[in-house]
Amino acid sequence: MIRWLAVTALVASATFAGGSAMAADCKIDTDETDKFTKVRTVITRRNSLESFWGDSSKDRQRDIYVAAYYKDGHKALQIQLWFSNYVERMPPKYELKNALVIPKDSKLLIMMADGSIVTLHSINPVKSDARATRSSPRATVDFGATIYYPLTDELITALTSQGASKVRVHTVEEHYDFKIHEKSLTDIGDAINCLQASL
Amino acid sequence: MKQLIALSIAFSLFATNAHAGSDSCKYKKNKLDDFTGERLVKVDWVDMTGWASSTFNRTIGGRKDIEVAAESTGGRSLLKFRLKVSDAVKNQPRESDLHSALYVPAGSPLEFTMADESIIQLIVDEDVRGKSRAKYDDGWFVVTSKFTVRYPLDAELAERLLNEDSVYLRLGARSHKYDFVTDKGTIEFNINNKAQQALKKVVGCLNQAQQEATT
Repeated sequence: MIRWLAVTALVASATFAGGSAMAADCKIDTDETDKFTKVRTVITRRNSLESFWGDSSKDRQRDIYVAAYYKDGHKALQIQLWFSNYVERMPPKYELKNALVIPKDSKLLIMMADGSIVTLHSINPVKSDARATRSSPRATVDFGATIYYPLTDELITALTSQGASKVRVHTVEEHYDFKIHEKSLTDIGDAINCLQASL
Repeated sequence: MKQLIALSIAFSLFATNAHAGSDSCKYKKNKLDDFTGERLVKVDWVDMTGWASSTFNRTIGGRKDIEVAAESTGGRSLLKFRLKVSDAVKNQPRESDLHSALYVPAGSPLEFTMADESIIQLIVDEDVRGKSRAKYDDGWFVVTSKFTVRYPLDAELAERLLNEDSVYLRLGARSHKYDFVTDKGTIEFNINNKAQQALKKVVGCLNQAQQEATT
């Protein structure tokens, strides 16, 4: 029994060690050229900027993912937001409409390790509806969005020269602040470097 | 016996401290914004609801709960009211009824009638729609609508609310078919002693935080 447990523990630790080694590598999720337009699209693997569990509390969970994106000569930072709220009763459908609205040119503020702020502006307007599911005895309301922020050479230099500690995403009504997990401090710069290396 | 005395002393000390704590200002936030460097102040909610509403109207409709809070960002101040109102109806509300149950359009006024019968008016600058739900209860559907409405507050009006007594409060709002909004398009409250204290406390705490920030 003890031997079996030891073997299981060894296998598990080897798996986790392998996983973390892979996380440091440059991974590309998409690298394809359209057969008709010959436009190449490259997207790096997305990484959560928060811990494995995201930012969880009793009534809500949320997470933020980052990847670097390239299409037709343009580079961008891709930010994906995901929110999940637990509510007492199923909300009416009209309340699910436009749960997340991010107009074009909305700001993404990134606080770098030295306290300086790098500001990016979104290229695509986002209007995302929420989805409600019954999860007895309560209901879950989920919504999320993918936003693209164009990268200039100047922004690339600023974002790859040091780690980042916090992110603020502006929406039409408010802003969401995320504290970057200590294991993810260099994820934004790493994603951009990974994209650059693959082009 | 000694234990009992020690326990009662400890309890009375705890009660005294709790009371002192409730008199002091409670801030949800009072700090510099990491990104902009602006001072953010959020004074916590204080209940203004009269005992009659909170005692009798919980289940049968006619509920009118009101809380007050305040916030300021970079010197721009807002006075906030959080309301929970209800009405009991015989027919099951449809989703469209809930959608139009409570709406405060941008430009709607909030008016205080002051003790000297003068009026202080604040104007909301954003549309607000209540979160409305219906619950079946013994032959009735109780429709409850919750919403938070924020009114820009300048220093002069804040000073008046702090130093003068108000007696009546009414908010401009719309409701398609529920009685929590009057035919005149208002939700109205008497300002009793508890509400008066709550209002002055919140405005005073906002002032205090702003003054501390400038000194």
